[in-house]
Amino acid sequence: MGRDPAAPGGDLDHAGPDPETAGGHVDTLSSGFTPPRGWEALLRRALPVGSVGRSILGDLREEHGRRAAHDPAAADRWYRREALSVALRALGNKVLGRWAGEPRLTPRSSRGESGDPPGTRLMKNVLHAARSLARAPRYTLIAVFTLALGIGSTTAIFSLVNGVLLQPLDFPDSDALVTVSSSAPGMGFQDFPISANYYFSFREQSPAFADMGFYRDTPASITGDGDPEDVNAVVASHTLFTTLRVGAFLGRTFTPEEDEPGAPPVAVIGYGLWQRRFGGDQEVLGRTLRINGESHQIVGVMGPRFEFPQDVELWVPARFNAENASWSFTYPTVGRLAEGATPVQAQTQLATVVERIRESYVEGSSWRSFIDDGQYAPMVRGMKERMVSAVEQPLWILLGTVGFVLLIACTNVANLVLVRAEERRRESAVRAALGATRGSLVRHSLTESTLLALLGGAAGLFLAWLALPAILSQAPPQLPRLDEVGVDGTVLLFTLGITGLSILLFGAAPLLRLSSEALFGALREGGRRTTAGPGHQRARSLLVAAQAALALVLMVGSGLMVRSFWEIYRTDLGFDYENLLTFRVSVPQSRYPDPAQVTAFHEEVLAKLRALPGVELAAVTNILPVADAAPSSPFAVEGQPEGEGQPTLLLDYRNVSDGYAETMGIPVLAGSTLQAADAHDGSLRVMVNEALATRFWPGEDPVGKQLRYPADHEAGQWFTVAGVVGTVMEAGVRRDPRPVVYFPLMSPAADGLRSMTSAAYILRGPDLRALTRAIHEAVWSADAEMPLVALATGEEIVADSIVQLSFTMITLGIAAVMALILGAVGLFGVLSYSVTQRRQEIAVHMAMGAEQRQVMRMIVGDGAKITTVGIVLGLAGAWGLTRVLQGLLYGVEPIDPLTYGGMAVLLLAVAILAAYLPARRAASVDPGESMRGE
Amino acid sequence: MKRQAALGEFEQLVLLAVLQLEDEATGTAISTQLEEKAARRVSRGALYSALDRLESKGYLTWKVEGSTPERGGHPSRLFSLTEPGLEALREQQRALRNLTEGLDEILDPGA
Repeated sequence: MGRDPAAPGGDLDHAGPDPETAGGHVDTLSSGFTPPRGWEALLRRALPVGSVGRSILGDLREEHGRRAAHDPAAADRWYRREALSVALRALGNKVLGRWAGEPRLTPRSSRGESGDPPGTRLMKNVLHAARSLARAPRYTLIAVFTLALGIGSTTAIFSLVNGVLLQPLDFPDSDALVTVSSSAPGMGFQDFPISANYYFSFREQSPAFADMGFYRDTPASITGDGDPEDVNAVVASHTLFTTLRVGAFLGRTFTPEEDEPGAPPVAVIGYGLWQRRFGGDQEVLGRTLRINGESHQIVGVMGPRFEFPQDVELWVPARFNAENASWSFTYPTVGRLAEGATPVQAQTQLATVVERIRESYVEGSSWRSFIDDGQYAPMVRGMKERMVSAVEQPLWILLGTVGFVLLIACTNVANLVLVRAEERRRESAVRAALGATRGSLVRHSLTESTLLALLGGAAGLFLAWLALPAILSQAPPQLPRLDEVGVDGTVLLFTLGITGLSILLFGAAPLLRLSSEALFGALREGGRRTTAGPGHQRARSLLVAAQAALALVLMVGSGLMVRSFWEIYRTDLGFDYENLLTFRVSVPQSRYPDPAQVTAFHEEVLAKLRALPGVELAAVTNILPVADAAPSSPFAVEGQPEGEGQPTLLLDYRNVSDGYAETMGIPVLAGSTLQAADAHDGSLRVMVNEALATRFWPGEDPVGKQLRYPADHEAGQWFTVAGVVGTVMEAGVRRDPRPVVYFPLMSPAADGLRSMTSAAYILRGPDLRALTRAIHEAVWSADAEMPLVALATGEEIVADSIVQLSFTMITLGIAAVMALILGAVGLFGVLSYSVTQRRQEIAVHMAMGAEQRQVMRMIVGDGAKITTVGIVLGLAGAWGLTRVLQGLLYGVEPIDPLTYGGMAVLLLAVAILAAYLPARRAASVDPGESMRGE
Repeated sequence: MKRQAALGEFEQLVLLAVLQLEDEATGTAISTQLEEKAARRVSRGALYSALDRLESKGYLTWKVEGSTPERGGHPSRLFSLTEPGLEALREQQRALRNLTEGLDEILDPGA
């Protein structure tokens, strides 16, 4: 802005200077003319308070009045223009004044240096800085790229943190939303859903909740019109939607009547399902959808952004009331707190409700002892807090990690800027001698740094935007709210913030060197100095040491993660997951109402699968180890005391077909496995795992021992252990394996119908993926309407279970490699520069008989010295910081000497490599030429 | 070494205008002076910030005068030169005279 845009231009739209008014005498005016409405107020806000501001207001008003006497409209135009010009300057000075050391439109101000208005000067500075950066394209490119790496990676990870952790949930007043769950530490259960019958008591008796709703995953196969399809579905109370305060996109959500027992079946479908299956047809309401063979009338379509629970596309009413509600603790529940209520209050209220429920049970009944022995307690937690609790720590660690990369990048750029300042010392000194104040030199240097940072920030933002989809595709699917991750206003603000921070970090360095002493020193030396100022060189070496330290911390962190990963990888899971293929089916209850039919279906499919060439073994179960959470229930165990005051024995259980242990590759340790015949005739044979046998019958022969299920005396039946199989790491390597009871496919005790309706098939054989088509046809030949889902190899299932660890490891690893490279580049830069600076010294050494090797050793030794300082600092830092990784590590301590030592050696090796090139150049110095050259 | 702050061309004109106006150097009057005598149309924003700058350099000072109804109750400022301001102006004029000596024919062909 060379000229103020508001300044009068060549052709004026107002009357020229009127001789009358110009003379300065005051017309007597009727004071009917006031400045345009609002403009004076605007001006008043912009101007400093006090007589300066007021006198300016007075000047303008007076002049306006005078002009208005001739032409009111022109006077108004004049006022607006002039007011704008004054206001812009006043505001501009307010904003820029302090920073640029400009005088302000106030009585007190500092000294300026030229007559240019401040905006013009800023522009000049920027242009000057841009020109000087353009003259050094290599420097500019390296600096901008380094900054872009740092800022870009930090921005990308922050987008993740922002979307997942910081943004509120996408529901109205989401802060009031909580989850209601249970804990029963007495039985070893930390956090599990509540039961539907508890829900009715909770909802009715706790005023701290404005509303409460539950849901539960349910298998749902859609048939009829089009291909059979398995969709993620839940049964839900009608209050689920009112609690979340979300209405339907089309139609409506459930009415209370539709949620009553015996009400005709209805369904609400998700946007995706609506688009996919109905082509977004507006007439979809009232149409029927066959779910598990039963017709449901569609009453509503949810909006595209509604996804609760995650990935669910179909909601059907639970049709419970307080009387018929399920007693199973499998109903995740959300609540909306009443105005002013806190989660703690709500939890206290629910505890008193539980006390009432307890009283209602008969003394000694299993439901009462569940509360007593289990020390059952309700838990109320913020919904968002709970959703993100599992990923919170790894995400913050990642952000910290990339923060380190940003720091290293800034250190690198600080080094570059220092080199540049060094090179330009004489230029600066000359400028200072010619009258440039230190202020202007500082300003110039700062403007250049700011320009670099802004370029780096913009490039970084672009990098982050490019990298984000790739990061998201690698992110663990358990990471909630991934669809909310993107570059939004908060992210932009953050990027701007870290860009500003980076200016402080690398822009401050050269300023310290701009002291007047240093400037005049440079002139006196006349450029004939042999090395850079010793202080300068030391500062740069320190920066490199700091870089090495930061890089080492990241390297140790990622080294620990790699070791954990390795430990997990080589831990024996207890079964052989190679050459396995699994898939799931869900058998609709409507078409297979009888448990015997379900069993018959599985047996038919198993027979067909086993007949396929290429399939060596096949089995079916309802719980897939590693992938599924096993249900558990109280058992009575032979030889274990039971009754009053005795702890409830809670054991995991599942149903398996014959051939399960063989197919999974689980060793049979004693007795025999379950046979095909056990699925019939109410066999009372079971298998147990080694963990169970050694826990209850140590040193005894477990075969033939008995277990009672359910634990209750009246209902329970005794089962006989037919065989013992090896213990499988059911819940992945991080959890200690639990005792497991294997029932046959259909067992009199383990409600065969419910447990086998959702089943997982396991096949063993080489290259089973190639048989996918044949496998489908085998299943379809038994039932043409049966969808197959979740086809996965054993390796994939195991990899999925540690995806959070591997995501953290890969990200940390990339950060560490970036840190190592940036650190090496930094060291290389410093040594190269020092070699250039010390040519004369080196030449003297060589002229006096030093060998090339000695010279090289000297330079490499310098690099090693600097790096060693960094390594010492870095080891200390890693010792302090890797503790935060503790929860993610497996089989390795945060203070692992091998990792620490290995990484330190690696860093030193890379440093020596980085020093080698400059050293070789130093050794190739020709003494004669080098000394003549000066 | 304490250097005297430089005087820009526009600042010089403002100082001269203030001198010309003697006791009547209000913002409006200075603006009018500049327009009439130096053919300089200048925005109020530029003018007030120049006045500010000159004040902070110690070349100008001002006192507050009472208000009139036409001014909406606002006071006015009367500017005057300080001794250093006068000295800076003289210095500038001397330099100008020294440098223009013997160049009359070129610089002022009409005379």
